[in-house]
Amino acid sequence: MSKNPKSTPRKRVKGRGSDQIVELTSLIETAKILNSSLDYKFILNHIMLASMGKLAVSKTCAVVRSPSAQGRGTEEFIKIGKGIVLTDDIVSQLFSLDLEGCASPRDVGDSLGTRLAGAGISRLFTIRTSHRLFGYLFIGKKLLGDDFVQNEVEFVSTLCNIASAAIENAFVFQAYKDSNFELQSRVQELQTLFELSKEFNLLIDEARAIRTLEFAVMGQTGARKYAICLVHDSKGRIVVNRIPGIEEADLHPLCSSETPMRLAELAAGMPAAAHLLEKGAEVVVPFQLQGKTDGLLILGERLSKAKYTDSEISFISSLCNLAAMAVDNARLFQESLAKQRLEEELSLAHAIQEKLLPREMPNFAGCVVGTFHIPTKQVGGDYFDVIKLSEERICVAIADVSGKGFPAALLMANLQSAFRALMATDLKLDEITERLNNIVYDNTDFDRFITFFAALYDSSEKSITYINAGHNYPFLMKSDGREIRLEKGGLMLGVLPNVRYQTGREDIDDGDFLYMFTDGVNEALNSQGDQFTEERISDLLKLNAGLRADEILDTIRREVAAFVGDAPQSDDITQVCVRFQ
Amino acid sequence: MNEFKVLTRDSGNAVIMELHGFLDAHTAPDLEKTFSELMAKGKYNIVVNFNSLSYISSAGLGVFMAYIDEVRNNRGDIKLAGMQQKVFNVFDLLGFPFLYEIYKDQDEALKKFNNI
Repeated sequence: MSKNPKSTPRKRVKGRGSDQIVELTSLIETAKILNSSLDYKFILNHIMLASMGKLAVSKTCAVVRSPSAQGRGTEEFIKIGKGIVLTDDIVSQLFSLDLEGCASPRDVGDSLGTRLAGAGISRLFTIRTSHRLFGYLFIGKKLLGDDFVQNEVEFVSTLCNIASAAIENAFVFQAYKDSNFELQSRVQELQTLFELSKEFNLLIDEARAIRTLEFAVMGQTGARKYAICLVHDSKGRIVVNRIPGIEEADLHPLCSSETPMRLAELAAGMPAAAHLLEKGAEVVVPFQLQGKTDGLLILGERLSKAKYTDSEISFISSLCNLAAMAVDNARLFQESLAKQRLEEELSLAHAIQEKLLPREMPNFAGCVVGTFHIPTKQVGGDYFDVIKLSEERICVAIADVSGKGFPAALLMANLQSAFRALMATDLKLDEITERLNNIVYDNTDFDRFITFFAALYDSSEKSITYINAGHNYPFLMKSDGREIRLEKGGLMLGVLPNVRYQTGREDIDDGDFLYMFTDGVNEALNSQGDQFTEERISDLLKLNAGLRADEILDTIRREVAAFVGDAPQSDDITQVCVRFQ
Repeated sequence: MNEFKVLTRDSGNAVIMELHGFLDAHTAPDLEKTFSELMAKGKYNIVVNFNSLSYISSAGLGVFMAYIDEVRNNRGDIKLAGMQQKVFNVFDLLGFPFLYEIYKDQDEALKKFNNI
């Protein structure tokens, strides 16, 4: 039988009757139609219909191997049946036979032949080229029950030959379409990876990073059931759960997995996998960051119900690793944000605290007050105040709250408001101090206390009255060169309730000056760990007794700075100097 | 960069969601917001008009996946209409034509809801 019916010699046609001419014309027509189609289903359908018409049979079936499945290395049959149904098993056996031309069921062996006959098949025709079998055309019984004549068999064989060339073309085209689709899919995946890596770099929010991963996974795979679990210290935390029934405990056994897993393959040897599989999970993909598992993506059913392919799983795995980076970045960002927020609060508190300290010295005829305060970076517990009570009377105070940071700063603010309020009353200094002590005692635990010194200067009486509640003794430097340490008073504030305080009193002569300080001055440390000491303060005060109040403070500050050198400032430095005129 | 915008308006028993610009991982949350607003209002008959959408990425498609179950569980649907070829190719590549009804234009999609 001719492989190419188009070139059938003309004289053979002349030798037969007009029937043959019609038949040949119809074959040429068919060849034209089939060769112009690249759709193998259309081609198969056409030869089935043509055979049914020519042979007067009502049942046919055509089967080909799916070219797309072959491209993927699997076997799948495409069956187009008109009244004949064949199982994959029968078809598969037939393909292993490598038949040629036309055969009847009894030609293919007893067992297979019986099954074919049972399916209503009386003839099968191969659709093939010399080197490749594409499929079969099955023909049922004739309507009138008579057998096929030679002419009919030849017609269908020729039809199948024409079809085989067309199908070969269609298969090549299908393979081209498949590889094009495959290529486009890869490009789409790469684009997704590229887009997500860009997006993830911008994200500083864990929830947003997870949502972005969800969208990409859903969009790319059509997954509708999935869960995401972030792993920290081998413990899982489910952040998204669209697989009903999955719990964190189910995932713990998988938290250290490093490669994607198909649960169905593991179920037999791993109860945890079997358990997840039961709940509807199919694949578990770990998020890997620097060789560590940071999370798990659990994939369940897709909208299309199709299984996840290896290439999809490896793509999702890349996506998850990108997400792991984003989640980690978000965590680092949150940490640095929290730190930054704390620093901002600290600096705000610091600014508030600075405002609690007097900035402008009240104008007072009887004396000049200088103050100096260097806070450490943190908020601290040093306090000083200068309050003008009347034209004749002024109050100066200095205090140091134990500890540092917010607790000390809060207590200092509490002391400042209480002290200012009490100073506005007619209470005496000892009464004020007693009340301050009780307030501090009530407001603090036993390990918190305040050293406090306050002095009232009355220019009409030319004297100071003072109370020292446990503070470093201030220096009263007399104009005749004597040094008096102001030590009368009592216990530090806040240690015991209802403490009585003794009031000290000193006469003041013109040219005397009062120097108050906190332990940031005498205990300033140099890099060898030595303290500045009160002796150094005393010497400097004597040496510089002729200077103005602000010059004295400045001198001591410079001396302390020179002494400390490069060592970091360990405590607030506060000094107050009052020069009496 | 071509910005992304969503406009919604009611039409009969359905809502038309008109997409403009680029829909990708960056702009997906905007679309998500619109969907969740519609869900909150109980509007489940949704026609998405793609006429003015010039680009869609996988993450953009993901948003439609995120709501399809909720919509269909409430006897609604998300019908897609008026895609440019480039946008349709992405849907096609990711197998969405099997999962969603895709129409030539918005009115054709609307009719499907109005026939119910």
